[in-house]
Amino acid sequence: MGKSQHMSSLENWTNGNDASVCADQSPYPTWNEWDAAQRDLYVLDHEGNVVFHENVTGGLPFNLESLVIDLIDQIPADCNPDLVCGEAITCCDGSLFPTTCCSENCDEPMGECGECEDGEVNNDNPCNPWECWGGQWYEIIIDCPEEMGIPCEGGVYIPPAEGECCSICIILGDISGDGIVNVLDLVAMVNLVLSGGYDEVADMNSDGTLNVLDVVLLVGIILG
Amino acid sequence: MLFRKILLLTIITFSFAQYEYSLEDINSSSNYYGENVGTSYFPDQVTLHYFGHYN
Repeated sequence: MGKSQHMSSLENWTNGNDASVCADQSPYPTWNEWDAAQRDLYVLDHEGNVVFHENVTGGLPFNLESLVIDLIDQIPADCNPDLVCGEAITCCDGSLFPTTCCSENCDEPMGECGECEDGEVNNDNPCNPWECWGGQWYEIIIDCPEEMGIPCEGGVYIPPAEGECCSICIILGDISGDGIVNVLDLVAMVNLVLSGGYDEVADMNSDGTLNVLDVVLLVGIILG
Repeated sequence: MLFRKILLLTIITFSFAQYEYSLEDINSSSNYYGENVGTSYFPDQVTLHYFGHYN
């Protein structure tokens, strides 16, 4: 910030640098409002607050650089949570992010890049496992037939076992779960009926109970 | 009551008027040459303002 009557010698003090230079017109309102004196230096933080004001006629303060760096570190990350990003784990500045936007969509880093060995698998969430390729974790999305609306023709979806993601489509009557309906399933069903147990796969008429009617239906299927 | 309003307005005006300006950038080497710059021209940035002139 200079004073208008001295600006003819501007090149002498910019020396080709690209800092903005302004000329305050007489009676120098900016100088007055800032209560500035010749060779006064002000440092403003990102909110426009004056955090440093000193006359630097004797030289720049030794801690000016560290002061500015500290102030820059205080600037909140400029991110947009509504940003549309690619679904791919991306390494940015040494950290892994779940999308190609890295931190620009306000995502938090998932970990450091190159922190896994190829072939390593993280199956904490069976429907969202992670596998390590090239030293980086990649997210695997599993689409289950039931969730995609694919019907289980002639059977019922059985909830997944522990460590598995998708429900399994089991043919009605296939109590053993071996993919075929035969006398083994009949034996298992009779045992269930006699013990008062229940299995959704054995409930041939889907009435919520297991009884002789289900046995008759299963026998009919086995005999063809 | 009127006095209190004027006093409040003066305080607010003083608070927001200080450390602000908007003047033309006259350094032809600057990226903002010809634009009106000032503290609010660089939001969310740390800025340094040096006041100097020839005696």
